[in-house]
Amino acid sequence: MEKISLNLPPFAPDYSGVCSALFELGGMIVIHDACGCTGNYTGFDEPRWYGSSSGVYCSVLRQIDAILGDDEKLIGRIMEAAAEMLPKFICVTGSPVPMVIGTDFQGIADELEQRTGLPAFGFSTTGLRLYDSGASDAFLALVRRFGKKEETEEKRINLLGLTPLDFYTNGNAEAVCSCFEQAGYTVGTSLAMGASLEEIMTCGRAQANIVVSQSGLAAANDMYERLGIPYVVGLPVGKKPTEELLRLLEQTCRDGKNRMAAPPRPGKQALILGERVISEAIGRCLVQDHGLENAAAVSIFTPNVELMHPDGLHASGEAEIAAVMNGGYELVIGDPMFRRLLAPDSRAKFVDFPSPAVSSKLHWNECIPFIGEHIEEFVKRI
Amino acid sequence: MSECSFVRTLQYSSPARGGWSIVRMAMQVPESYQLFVGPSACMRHIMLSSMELKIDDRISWLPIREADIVSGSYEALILESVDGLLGKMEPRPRVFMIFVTCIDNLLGTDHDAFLAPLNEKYPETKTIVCFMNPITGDGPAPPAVTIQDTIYSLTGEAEKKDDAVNFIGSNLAIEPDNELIGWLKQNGIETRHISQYQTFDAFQEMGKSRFNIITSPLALYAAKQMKLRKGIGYGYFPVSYSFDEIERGAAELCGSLGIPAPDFSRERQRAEEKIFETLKALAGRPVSIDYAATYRPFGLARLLLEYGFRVDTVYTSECLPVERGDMEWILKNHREVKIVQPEHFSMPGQIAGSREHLCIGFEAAYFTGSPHVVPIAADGEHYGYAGVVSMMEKMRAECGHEYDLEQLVKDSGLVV
Repeated sequence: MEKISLNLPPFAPDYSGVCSALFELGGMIVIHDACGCTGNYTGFDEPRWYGSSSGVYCSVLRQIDAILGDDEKLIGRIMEAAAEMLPKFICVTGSPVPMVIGTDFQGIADELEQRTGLPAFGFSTTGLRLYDSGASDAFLALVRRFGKKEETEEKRINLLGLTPLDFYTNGNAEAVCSCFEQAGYTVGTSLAMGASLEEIMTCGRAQANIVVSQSGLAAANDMYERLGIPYVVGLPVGKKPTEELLRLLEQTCRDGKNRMAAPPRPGKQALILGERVISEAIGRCLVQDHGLENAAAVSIFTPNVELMHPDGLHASGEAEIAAVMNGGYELVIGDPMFRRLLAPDSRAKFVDFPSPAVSSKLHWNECIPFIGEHIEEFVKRI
Repeated sequence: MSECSFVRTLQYSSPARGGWSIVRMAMQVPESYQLFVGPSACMRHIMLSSMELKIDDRISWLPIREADIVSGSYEALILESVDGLLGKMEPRPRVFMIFVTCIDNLLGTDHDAFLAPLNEKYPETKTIVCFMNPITGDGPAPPAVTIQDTIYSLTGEAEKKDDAVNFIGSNLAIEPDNELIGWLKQNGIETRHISQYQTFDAFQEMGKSRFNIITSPLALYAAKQMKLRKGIGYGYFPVSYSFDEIERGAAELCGSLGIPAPDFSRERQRAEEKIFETLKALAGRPVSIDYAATYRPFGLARLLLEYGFRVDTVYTSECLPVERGDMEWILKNHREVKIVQPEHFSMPGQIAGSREHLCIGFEAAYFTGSPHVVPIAADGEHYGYAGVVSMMEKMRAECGHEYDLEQLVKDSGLVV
């Protein structure tokens, strides 16, 4: 019974993360499914879909294809469409049925690449994992494929981990760029909002990477190991935390070491539920700029050991999120849908901070600009 | 265009694509509750659209993990979870629908393993399995068809039928001022539609009706099953925009019911008057029609063309058998009419930017870019001459009205 979710929708799935990460790059993206999974993405996880010309498609998988393992039909349809649409690359990503029948997406991508001559990516997404793992896979594939060792340009950085599922389309992505540009850095590329595939191909020139969400971490690790580009994990939210992040970046550019902005001091004054990097950034701002003594950030999507601090909290699913929310905090910040999980006798003040990966279009028009000093408007509501 | 062949390609889903979800159809069963079981991703659009429609108090979901699939504990998990939920529900629903998804077709699930003990323990609640498995989309029993069968299998059993007919296959009840409903009433025959019932007990009376009028192909299978299980006769009298078909259908239906055929000449005349009024009001404005607005896009286009309207485009990816003649007539006599597959891979970004078009359906509006929309899905409440009149009135009204289409689509609650 405790496994049943009565109040929350499932969060955005892994294939939505893949599609979201690649959406702006001019590729042909195919979700291998019957149509419901594509509907999840286009209807609920992609705020850029309306009016867009991006090529995201459903493969129209049918039972007989699944039983026969007929990959040739899929390959043929993609080749037919690619010949006319001339995409820059092809991406094929999975859903629950291909998981059950063990579809070899990498094999299909290799076949497509060989036959079309276009770069092709295959992702074994299952619909059982969450968007951040899918986006992470996609960003990693992009930098592995296109990131090459190049001469380093001083004060050039890349932003890794930008998708509307975390940042929406209300200026947050642009504001992250501006923060670093105002500090004298050049943003070479951002994976992947406001970037082109051609820009991504130059990512090897950066002196450092900024990991702005968990989905950018795997790509950052790859670029560190393969290209020697170090990274800093963190977001410029608020005045003092932004200054601190810029200091970390400066040090990293100087010594080539990876760094992570320190989490806020844990405690019961405030609880922020959401994507880990974003939640911690908001928590730091509340503590450093606004006098809170402590704030606890709780990641609610895919747990990640590398980003988890000793005092870090994680909650998976409705029961765990409800449990942590009702843990005696004075202030709870989270998606509006979480409000209904507060116990009737809770004294906590709940402040909405919509997450498209949770409440989708039901609340994404209320998403909050929170980068840099934009957070001040939000803080007034607290 | 001298010929028209629809092709199967990678499928594009425009932002305006969608219709009534399976959830919404099944929610029409009074006092029912739905539990969706499957990979979490499968339920995202279901739960979110239910929240949009504010019906989420009658629905929940149970995620299946890879370990559950591999270990075969799927059935046990369902049994344990539903038992726990039903045990806490007060009052308990009369029908508890366990929806399984595409992967269930490949796992060989033993549904009886959980249905039998649940129905034994909670006899006042009918626990049943329903299917949300679009992977069966091309087969004889896609989800929108099986759900109709499930819904009507829940109606009562009655050896003695009463003087009533059911309309099945329409999401909405036919407009009460419909001429056929009036004629049946005059002849002592009551009409029933699922939307009129507030309680499960009252809904049972649909099983007493002596005849099913099938208004869309989705309910054909359900009607055949009702004939077998409950002895209810049926006839396929789909929504039509052809005057001859409307009258032929009415006469045939009345023959089946043993009542005189109606004389609908006054209604026919009224419909024609409305058509001429609308033609004048549109003053040559181009009209686009999509397949989601009506099951008869070619039939509607033909009617409009025959009366002199300027039909510009029909958006559809298939032609139902009942529409074949109308499509061929258009191809032969009106080669200027474009027939466009909205799901074709070449459609992303194909937005014409015309503000002049009058669009019947959301996708037609999206692709033309026009703010003038008749916001209708699956023929709405239309049927017969009254349906033609209603369509004309809406077309006229929407000419002078502009929508923010993005908001309109969002508010419509349509789901892919």
